[in-house]
Amino acid sequence: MDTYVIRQVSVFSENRPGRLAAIARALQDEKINILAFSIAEADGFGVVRALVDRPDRAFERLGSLGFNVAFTDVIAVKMRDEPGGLYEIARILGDAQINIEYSYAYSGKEAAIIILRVDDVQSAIQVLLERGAGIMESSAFQ
Amino acid sequence: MLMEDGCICGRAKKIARITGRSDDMLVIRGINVFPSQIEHVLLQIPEVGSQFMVYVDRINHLDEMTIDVEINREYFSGELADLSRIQKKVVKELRDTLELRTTVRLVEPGTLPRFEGKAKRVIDRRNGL
Repeated sequence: MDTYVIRQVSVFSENRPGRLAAIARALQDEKINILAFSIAEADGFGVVRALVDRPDRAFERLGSLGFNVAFTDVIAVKMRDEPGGLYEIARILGDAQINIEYSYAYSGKEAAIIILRVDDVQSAIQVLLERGAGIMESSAFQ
Repeated sequence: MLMEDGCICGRAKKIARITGRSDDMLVIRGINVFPSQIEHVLLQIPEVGSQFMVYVDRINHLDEMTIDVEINREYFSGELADLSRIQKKVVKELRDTLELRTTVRLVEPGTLPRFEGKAKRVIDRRNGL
């Protein structure tokens, strides 16, 4: 099961100019590639979420620069890149009463990928495998 | 601030201008607030540091107090929801102690100024009194 769990790097950031640039610069300096990424914002602060090729190095580097960093377990699922692709995946989780806390997606050359943070990671992996969804192994990213 | 040279009327030193209180007490919407009270509240909350900065503004004729606090490194879970919970907790604890509604901003650890000697944690941006 753990082969499907991807470690997302979550970084606490104040909501002010230059913070994302500082994070991106740090990753560039370590030659870390960002595979997927999103920003969530709340009242005056935000969390930058990223899937990177070398999460441990990213964690270390950002931490040494004073950033507050944590790992979050997420899963990535391949979707058909056509109408209804998202519905297929969302329906599987909905039917299984698994809640999606947040999600972000990208549409690549080969397929569309959705990254999911769910309340019950193990059950989500199990039900997605049972229903034949294209859940991706973490080694595809990291 | 004292007139060091003495007053021209011949009396000795005289107060030229009152620049502030020595104990930093603030009056916010008629309620007395001591920065030490804020520090005391923050020390009770492990999720945030004890450093803080207070900004006081007058918005639409009302005093508004904004407090910056640092998130404690160990309590960052990576989840936005947990951060919002911490922010609300600080607002609530401050309200219970100060009996004032405040705005709390969470800032990155280690970014607030550290003071040696007398701390200058209050920035009063209200114009005049």
